[in-house]
Amino acid sequence: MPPKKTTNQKAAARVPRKRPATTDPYEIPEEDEIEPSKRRRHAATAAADTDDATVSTPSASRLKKTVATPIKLNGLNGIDTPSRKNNADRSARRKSARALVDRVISGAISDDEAEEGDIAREIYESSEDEEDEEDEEGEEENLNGETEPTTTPSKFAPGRKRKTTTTRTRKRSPTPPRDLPPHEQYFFQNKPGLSKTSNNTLSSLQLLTHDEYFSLSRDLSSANPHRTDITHLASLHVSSFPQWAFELSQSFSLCLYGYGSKRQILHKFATYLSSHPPCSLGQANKIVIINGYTPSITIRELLCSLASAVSSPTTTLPGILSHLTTHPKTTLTILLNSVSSPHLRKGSFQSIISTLASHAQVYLCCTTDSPDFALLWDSAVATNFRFLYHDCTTFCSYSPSEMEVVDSVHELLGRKTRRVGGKEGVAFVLRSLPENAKSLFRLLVGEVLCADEGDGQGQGQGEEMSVEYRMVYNKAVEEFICSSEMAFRTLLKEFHDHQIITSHKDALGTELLSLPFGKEELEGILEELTT
Amino acid sequence: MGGGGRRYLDYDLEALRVEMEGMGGGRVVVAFQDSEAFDTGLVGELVGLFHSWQDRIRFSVLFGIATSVELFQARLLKATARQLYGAQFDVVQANAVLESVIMAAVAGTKAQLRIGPGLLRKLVKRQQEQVAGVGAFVSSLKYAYMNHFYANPLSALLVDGQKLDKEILQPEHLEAVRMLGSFKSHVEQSVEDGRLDHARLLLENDDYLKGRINRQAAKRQQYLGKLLQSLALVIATEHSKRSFVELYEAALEEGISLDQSPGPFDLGDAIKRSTPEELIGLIKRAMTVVVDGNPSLHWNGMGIDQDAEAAIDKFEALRADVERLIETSKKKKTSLKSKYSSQSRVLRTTVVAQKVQLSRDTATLTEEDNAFTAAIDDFFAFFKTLVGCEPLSNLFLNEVWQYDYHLPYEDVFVPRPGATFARALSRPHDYLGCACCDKANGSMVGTLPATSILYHLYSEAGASINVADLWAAYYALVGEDSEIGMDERSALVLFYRGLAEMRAMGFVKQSKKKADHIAKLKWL
Repeated sequence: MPPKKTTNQKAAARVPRKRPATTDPYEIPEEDEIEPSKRRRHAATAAADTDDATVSTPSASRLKKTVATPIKLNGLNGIDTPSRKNNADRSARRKSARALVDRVISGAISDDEAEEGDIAREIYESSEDEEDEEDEEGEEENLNGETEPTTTPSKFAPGRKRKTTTTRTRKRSPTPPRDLPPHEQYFFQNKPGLSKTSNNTLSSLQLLTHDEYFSLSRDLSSANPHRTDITHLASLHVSSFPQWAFELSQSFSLCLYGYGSKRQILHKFATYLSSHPPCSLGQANKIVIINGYTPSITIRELLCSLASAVSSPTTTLPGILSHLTTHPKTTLTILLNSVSSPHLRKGSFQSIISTLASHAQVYLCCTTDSPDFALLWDSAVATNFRFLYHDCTTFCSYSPSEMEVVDSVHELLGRKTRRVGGKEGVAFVLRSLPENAKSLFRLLVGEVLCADEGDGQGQGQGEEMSVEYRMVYNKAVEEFICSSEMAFRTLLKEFHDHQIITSHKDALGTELLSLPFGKEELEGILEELTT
Repeated sequence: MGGGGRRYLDYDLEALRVEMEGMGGGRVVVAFQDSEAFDTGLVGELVGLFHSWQDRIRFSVLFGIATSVELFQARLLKATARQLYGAQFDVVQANAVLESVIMAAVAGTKAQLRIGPGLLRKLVKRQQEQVAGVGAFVSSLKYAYMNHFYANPLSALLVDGQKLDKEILQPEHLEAVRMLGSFKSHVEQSVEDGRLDHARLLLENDDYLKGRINRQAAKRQQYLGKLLQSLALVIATEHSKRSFVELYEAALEEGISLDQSPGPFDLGDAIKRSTPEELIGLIKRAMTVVVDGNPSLHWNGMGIDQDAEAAIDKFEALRADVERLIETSKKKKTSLKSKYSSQSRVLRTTVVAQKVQLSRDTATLTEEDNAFTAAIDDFFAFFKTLVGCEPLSNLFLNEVWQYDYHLPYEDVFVPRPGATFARALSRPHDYLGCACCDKANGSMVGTLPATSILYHLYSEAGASINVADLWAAYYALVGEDSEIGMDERSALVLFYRGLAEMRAMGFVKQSKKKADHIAKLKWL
């Protein structure tokens, strides 16, 4: 029926244009008045659906959605892609049913057939289960569909409806498969819509401050039940020092990896090397320890200290290397803590270190704390390093200089780190600011609290309340806090610098200001400011 | 800063010139890796610039070209091409380099230590699978030597006889020798062969054993000579399709035997099928090997002992025979063939009463043909006496000079940090050997270190982790209601520490999707 099809296409082409008019649910009755061609199209698609589901073009389904009543929407699901699987299942089921019947009729069963029969039975039964499930789903949706449009007709959007159905189908596998290989697990856990986590937050928990952390951790470190085991483990590593020194002497570099802080091991190794230098007799060995975890570490500084260690006149890399070449009696041992620390991840740093390590008179031993260290080096750099890797798992806890535990965790949680704590901090900051800054902050706190109250308890606890920038500016001008936007910005910048406000833009591009404090804190601040 | 306090701009080549002068002159080599991907216009400009400075700074430009020089030149402007004066250097295939390194440093006579077939295969495989460069192979080789001489006390026995006897050998060495697998199998073999005295003496008499050990060096040389001779001859036949490295590995592992079929040294058929001309070529090549050896193996041939002379005489006689046969057959205007050559057997199809009959027909062999067949048989029989050796592991005391452990090599060169971290965190008992976590056996108990507990919880969690729930789960395990009974603040300190460590190891990162959530980054 080719001529009919062309009209179908015409109708389909017309649909998008008509769509804006039909989005209003109250226009649904108009469906009866659709022009005849459309009517024919409906019939045609229905006919087409029965023999080939793919005929339904996206635009056609959109039309259906826009005019459909909730019950029809279920029908729509029927011709959607998931249903094709159902169709296939159904046909498989039909076939297996026929197979079962045939077998019963014929009577005789051989071993092979028996097996086949089992499979057929299984298909039949499993699809029966599924159908039950589907029926249930259908009923539930019917319920939803009946209630939703009557109560809140405007909210009834087809997209939304779809979402609920899709999540329903995904819920079919509630238990995560166990013992998947890591890559499979990655894909399983990253399926869209699968991240179901609770809405609990840490708001009830008083987070640790630096002082509390340090005072408690001092007591805890002495009470560590594994202390003796950790010392024993360290002694095992110490016993391989002669081997490591030998490997260094054979112009290899060492890379110690594994869980736990390796700072102490490296220090012990340095002590060992000072009495058993890897160089040959008659050479003077200088040992330099570099702490890669220091945030302020720079390449220049590093080269300076290396240059001074070998008493090289120039502090450039070629200078140091040529100095070493001209002074064959001097050797340099570099012990580098945390080569993979974020402060050393720049390519230039790694290539400088590797160039140093490739020199015959330079011995390098470094430690790394993350399992991804191999990604730091391209093949050229890696060839220069000539690394031998040793598993050096220590289980030692990291020292405060190596790891800023409290800051790191707060950063991880999205809490502001190193901010002046709570209302005392704010008071401290405001004390150093001019009077109008104080007034502005008081205004801001007031507005945020108002907005919070106005919105009620609808917002989640973790969400910070924000107010519109423009509105705050207008109020500030009204109260003679500032006269120009320029001055207003300057004041805000001061707050920004002390991290006592944050600003962001919402979806519409409106600038919003918010305060990174809880409600109680804000109330406390306001009290303090007004008195 | 240049000389005289002048300051140069970053892109001023004058600065480079001053620097070069300070270093006493020399060339500046600018290398373009992957020249095809480079912007042609930029190359042209650079070449022009270098050219204009050529009188002050001596520039050399090095292009890595993946296609051909002609194509590369076609892409350049004529003016640019005119400024270049080039020479072409062909890159040697990495495999060829590797093979020559292996021939010289692993298989050759100069190698003191035999790298065992297992390790060698691993090393070669790594070279082929990873783009590691020959440097990595050399390092691995060096490390194998280091390991052997550092960790195997019996490596001392490689020292020459006299010195070994007097200075180095300790009673412990003898004791260790008696523990060796090859010693045991040697003694067992002697008992089976009925040489009971020999076996008893080896076991009980230290001096006798010392004598045997001293003779070991000579035997090793002998074995090595035979091995390399066999390999060189096998290669000289040009019938083996395998590379030298494969042949060498197979020789060490299974020995060389031409009778093995199918096997890497299954050359019998190929040799027998050769035509008279091929056979003469083969004999000539075999003679060269016997006399001159193989220079890339540092093997100098069989030398000038009786065996070698006998071999040369034999080969000469065979060659003369075959040449004479060729002459006669030429006179008779027949082609010389052996019964092995494929032409001798013909499939004959005859159509009898509309049916096809296949019949195998042995072509009649002339007198010369028979003589040639005899010559081939003779050659092959003699060739077999020259080619053949035992597997390396059959040799008495092979442990002293063979190194075939791949575990240290893998640990040190191809680390698996992910697995190491995962093991340390999931089964701390493996490292700590502590009594408290003994029962855990990879599961989660409260006595584990905090990071380990968090790791367990982490691996159970999905892609996004709620820290509040993580804390609740952690506290339930170690908190006041559990066996550990830690108070909340102390538990929190450990929790913080564990979380910070997880972050430092790159397991988690901040997530903005929900409040107090972190994102999982690693699936180990």
